[in-house]
Amino acid sequence: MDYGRSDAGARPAPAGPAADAAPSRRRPLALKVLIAGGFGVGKTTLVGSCSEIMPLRTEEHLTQASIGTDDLTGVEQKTRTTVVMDFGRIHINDDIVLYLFGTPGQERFWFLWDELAIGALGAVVMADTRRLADCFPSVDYFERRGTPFLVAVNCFFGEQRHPPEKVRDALDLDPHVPVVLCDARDRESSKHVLVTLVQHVMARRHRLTAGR
Amino acid sequence: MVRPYTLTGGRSHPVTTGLNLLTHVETLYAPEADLMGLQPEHREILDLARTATSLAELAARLDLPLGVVRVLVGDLLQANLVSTFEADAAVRAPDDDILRAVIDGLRAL
Repeated sequence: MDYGRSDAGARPAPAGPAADAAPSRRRPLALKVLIAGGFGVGKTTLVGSCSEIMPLRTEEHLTQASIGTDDLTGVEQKTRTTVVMDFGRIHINDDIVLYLFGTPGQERFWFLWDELAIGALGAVVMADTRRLADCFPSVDYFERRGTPFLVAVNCFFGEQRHPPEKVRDALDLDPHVPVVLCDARDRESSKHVLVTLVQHVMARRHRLTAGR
Repeated sequence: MVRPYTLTGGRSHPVTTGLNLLTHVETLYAPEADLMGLQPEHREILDLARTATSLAELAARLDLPLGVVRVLVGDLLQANLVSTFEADAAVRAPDDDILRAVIDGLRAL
């Protein structure tokens, strides 16, 4: 049954030409890449430089975890909060679409990440060497989940204060995790980051298969 | 400007579950009579989803919160006006051929 869970509990599909024709249509494969990192590190810029970009709003219930950081005393009614993510779409070919999700940087929205991370192809953790500690939580998160990721050091205005190897040491990264320098404003540079991520995903898969 | 969940009559949970960010929605053929009583936002979804469109993209294009679009798509599913299918890596794990195609596609941008 091709329609998967959507049919569960629904009435049978209507008869007629459209119902018969739908399953034969080509279905795209949707791949998800997360763009993470601290506030103001250039996530929006990167998504916008290599794809069309749209803001995606979610309205979320504040969970217990997030309530800790929001003083809700006296406003018990307000249990929803709006989170805006950067959302980009890259048409690879007729069969494949790549979706980019700029993850909300604030830690109190981390409960949102889990849905984003399920089935993600990989993640780009953006780093600013002036505030390297801002990307620690993202690195931890993807390491813990086993999501393949790379670190992209956004070189603001050509500034590059630390070579990639220093960044790798400071973040205590696995030697396989790529560290690339980028200029998030530049399309070619952002494309290079994504290409490197996909190559990393592929190499990692080969390593895991070989190690079996 | 209306508060988002006014569109759903205050409902914050869709009638069906399992609508993920990348679940694709596709409009089914329906006679005009079946569209009576739909809200403009339902119709906008039907319009956009003539080509299979992900839930995330529907929300972004309609500038509505994801949760609202989940509820509205749930309504359309129940009325048999759309079908949905999963299109993500969980359904078809990307193999080397797919990854190479992604790399080529990115380079060609």
